[in-house]
Amino acid sequence: MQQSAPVRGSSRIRLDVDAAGRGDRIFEGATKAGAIAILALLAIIILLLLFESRNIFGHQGIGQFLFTTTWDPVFREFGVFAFIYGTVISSVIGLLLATPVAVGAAIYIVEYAPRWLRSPVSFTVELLAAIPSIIYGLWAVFILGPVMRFHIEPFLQTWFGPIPIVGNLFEGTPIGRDILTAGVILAIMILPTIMAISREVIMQVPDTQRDGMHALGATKWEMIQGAVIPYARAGIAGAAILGLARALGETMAVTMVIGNASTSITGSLFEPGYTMASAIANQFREADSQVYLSAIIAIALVLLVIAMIVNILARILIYSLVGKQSNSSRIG
Amino acid sequence: MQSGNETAAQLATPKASPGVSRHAILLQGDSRYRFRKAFSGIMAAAVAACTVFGVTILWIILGYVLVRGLPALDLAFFTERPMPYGEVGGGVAPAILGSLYLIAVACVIGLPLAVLAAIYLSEYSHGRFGDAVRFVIDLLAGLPSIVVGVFVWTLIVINTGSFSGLAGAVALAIIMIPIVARTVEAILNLVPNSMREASLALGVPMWKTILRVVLPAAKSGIITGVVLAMARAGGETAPLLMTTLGNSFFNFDLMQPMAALPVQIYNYAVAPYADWHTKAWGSALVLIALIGALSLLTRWAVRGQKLGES
Amino acid sequence: MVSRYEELYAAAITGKMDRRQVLKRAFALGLTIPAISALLAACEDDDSDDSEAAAEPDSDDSSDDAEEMVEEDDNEDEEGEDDLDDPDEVESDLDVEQADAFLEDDGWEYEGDDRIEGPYDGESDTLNGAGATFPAVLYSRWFHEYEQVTGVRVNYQSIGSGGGIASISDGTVDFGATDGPMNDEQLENASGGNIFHIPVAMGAVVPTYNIPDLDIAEPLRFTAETLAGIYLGEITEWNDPALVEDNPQLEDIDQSILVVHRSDGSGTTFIWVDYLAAVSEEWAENVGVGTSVNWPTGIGGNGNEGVAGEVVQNTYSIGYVELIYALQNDLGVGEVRNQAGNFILPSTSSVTAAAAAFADSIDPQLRDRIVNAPGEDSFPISGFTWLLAYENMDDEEKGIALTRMLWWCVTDAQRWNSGLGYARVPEEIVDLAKELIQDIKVDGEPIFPGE
Repeated sequence: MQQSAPVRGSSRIRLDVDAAGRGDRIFEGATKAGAIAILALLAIIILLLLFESRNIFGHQGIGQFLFTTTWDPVFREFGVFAFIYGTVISSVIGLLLATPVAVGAAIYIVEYAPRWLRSPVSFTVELLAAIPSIIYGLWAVFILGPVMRFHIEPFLQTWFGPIPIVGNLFEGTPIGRDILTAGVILAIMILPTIMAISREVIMQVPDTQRDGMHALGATKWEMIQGAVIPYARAGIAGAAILGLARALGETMAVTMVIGNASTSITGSLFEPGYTMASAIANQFREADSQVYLSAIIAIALVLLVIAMIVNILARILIYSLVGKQSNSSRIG
Repeated sequence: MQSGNETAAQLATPKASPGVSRHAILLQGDSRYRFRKAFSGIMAAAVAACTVFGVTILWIILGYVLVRGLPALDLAFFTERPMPYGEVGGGVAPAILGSLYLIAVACVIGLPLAVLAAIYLSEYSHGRFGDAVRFVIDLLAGLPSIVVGVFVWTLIVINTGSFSGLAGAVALAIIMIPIVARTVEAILNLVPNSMREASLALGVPMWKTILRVVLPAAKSGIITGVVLAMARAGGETAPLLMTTLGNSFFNFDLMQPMAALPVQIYNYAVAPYADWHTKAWGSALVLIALIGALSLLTRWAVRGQKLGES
Repeated sequence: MVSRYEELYAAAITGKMDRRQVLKRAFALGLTIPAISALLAACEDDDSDDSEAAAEPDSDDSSDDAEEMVEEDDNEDEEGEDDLDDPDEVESDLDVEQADAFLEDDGWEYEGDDRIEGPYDGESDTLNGAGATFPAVLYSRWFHEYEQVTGVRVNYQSIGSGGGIASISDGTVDFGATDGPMNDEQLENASGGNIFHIPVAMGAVVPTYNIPDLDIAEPLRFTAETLAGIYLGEITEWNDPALVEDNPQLEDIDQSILVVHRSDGSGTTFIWVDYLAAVSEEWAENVGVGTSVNWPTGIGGNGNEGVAGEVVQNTYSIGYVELIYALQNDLGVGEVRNQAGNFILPSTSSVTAAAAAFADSIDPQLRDRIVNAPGEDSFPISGFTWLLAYENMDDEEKGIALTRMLWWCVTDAQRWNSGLGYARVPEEIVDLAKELIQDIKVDGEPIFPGE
């Protein structure tokens, strides 16, 4: 486009230039068509989901759909709040468990690890991101679930159960197929996402910051705490939110361990639950009436909107710090 | 984590503003020094422990897949189709072939679109439109895969009147597009402008410059991006549940339901039969091996490229 | 007016029959493993002087005995088509396999001369179906065999009854499968016109429980009222007077009941809640009938196997599953009181009895539900499972393949039913099903090419 400084000379060359100009226009057109197709793709996804979920909003109000917990296909009452609750709680548990570990690992790799160790360690942790969700699910069903049921959950119940308020979180029979187990597997799954981005963000912290703290006689940790973390805070928050975005939309591993039940909200983490994604996975092919089907498509729509909002938020935070060069750091 | 900060703050004057003045006092040797030093050591150990945990959990999961999956692998596992419920024997050959086939078709559908868009973003766009496209690609990358499944079901399964391999491939293509587009754009941006200028100065038109100079220079990076996307698509389960449905027979007709490894793992894992559980682990091992082979292939391809350049 | 099981039980307990005779008879009746364990336990009590077989208290051992009996009974095994079931291939340490082996081929063979054999010119070589998980064990076996009989590859995916109905309505599969008949609204919404229900098997949905203090050989007895009460959350303790009345052994079980139900849409649920609604007005009004309902209480398990799993893992729990899943997982299976007032243990024969009770009033469209059947020996929570096909198809090749496949399912294929824990469809209903199959049309012309 900005090329075509036309070469003056024989008509033959001129012809070439004309041909080249046409070729350029065609080629640019083709690439632009590709770009437009991607815009169109998202638009079609949103419009089609909106269109297909119209029945449910004709059937009952948006408010009832979003904010009630009764999901009753027989009497055609569809309230998704319990699913939203399950999604948010399991994701937040995952986030709370994963973020400290991920940030700690990122700090270790950047600030402590000997140079030769950095690359293999970060490679290994990032390999976690390459393991498919279904394999996490398989592992969680057969290994993590029983460990949670027979060891971790009874332990939590014994130690925290008697404490008021906190104890409510650990009420009920430990069954290993519950919101807590889902949160733990989510934590493992989003660990590499948060770690990779945090590492990148921490590496962006200028050495002058570190030197300044050292010069003041700070210990290494005080240096990290006083100079590195404050500088990287926004980026780490962005990394965590990106991890959250991944957790919100995660389907298979969660479906396999969350228990897929209970549309009532008790507040206990030992309660089986449903996330939006697992509700879709479980019930999509089951929907035997138009309203039911469109209710499930509407869940997909809600999930899409939430995922978009969270993604946008995360990217704003990351870009504000690291700038656009770090695009390649996006994982999954 | 805050307590270290408290220590420093207590040493500083109460009105100390954040920054240098607050920490000046740290220089003074004081009775707190040993505590501060010890605390720093503890935190170093803590972050090291975090790293060890991250690395260990990976090896634990891989270890289980290996130990539990290996016994399932025999010749029949790779050559035969699944047995009826609860019966011992058979294999997952249709699922292995189905997965490879789906990924290949998804590449054919998704790659041209993604690469074209990436070229546009890197070589032509300089304005708001380009930013909008980048933004949309980011949103697509963050789209939960189950939503893609629902979308493809309403778009293709209903309209063609059949669950089909094609629908599954389209779903996988939608998942691959944003990954490929962003990686390829980033790589193309790394190709030095001097190369483009040299080519253009020789009178080579822009489109030829891109195809003959820029893309070859970025070849290794592009392959990396594509393989990343293939690995990701190969492990996707949720969208396939509602598009390809699954098939216990061999099938290479794109318009028919098709088996895929992740779906097979899911079906085997939730069934109550011990032999199927073993097969689920075996299939998981094969899936990981496939993904690992893909990334090794990339590394090999990338290295070959570098040698070619020099 | 006693069931055959109780007759046998009486014979065993009074010492009229010895251990081997009881086993042989029990097997001939198609009784369940818990039932047989109970019978054997009864033998032990009064057979102390029996020199032939030392009393063995372990129910596993009795299964082993049963296995031997199967082999003896099967001497006249017809075509040897059941090489898959060779006990040598079965991993002996798994109860699942034992149950399967125990439930082998009972020697029944379709005797009509209209069998489907060999490939047929002009039929499609693939068919796709999806639906119920309840008969999936049976279907996957059938279609495995069917490919060997005709070369047609029938791909069946068990996604649940709701999914089967939805898929056939959308026309995304060649046939659907369900355990709950489509209701009128669903039939109207089907995209391709009228849908035929072809009954291909019957099964029982059984209350299953895990109370470690009790011997599973002495099944608990449930009534319509107690089951509805438990699932409505009104009966919450195992020693509730309503339960203790029929089960004195529960008096000391001072534990609360953990209710387990299905979390996904399911035909098993349909049959279960259809029964509860048939017997409890409160259930009918507040919860209703469907493939997935809004449960008043309890936790959910995904699929029949998920419910069985939850019951296994949680003591003092109760769930409901298709019979085969309870057998495979060695769970306690309860007796249920039927309309005639008898407590009936679920088995293929008591399910057949339930269908027979409705034999006089069969709906020509074969969409009958058979819960709460009258009959003395009927197990009240029984149901058909159907394959769903369009009356009018547009693809000739598929039409030929599908009608032949359906024909095979209601005839020859029935020989696998009882071996896998399902009851065969009674003959009078098979005849009606054949008429429906012959009614399936392509371009207005019946398409079934004959056997």
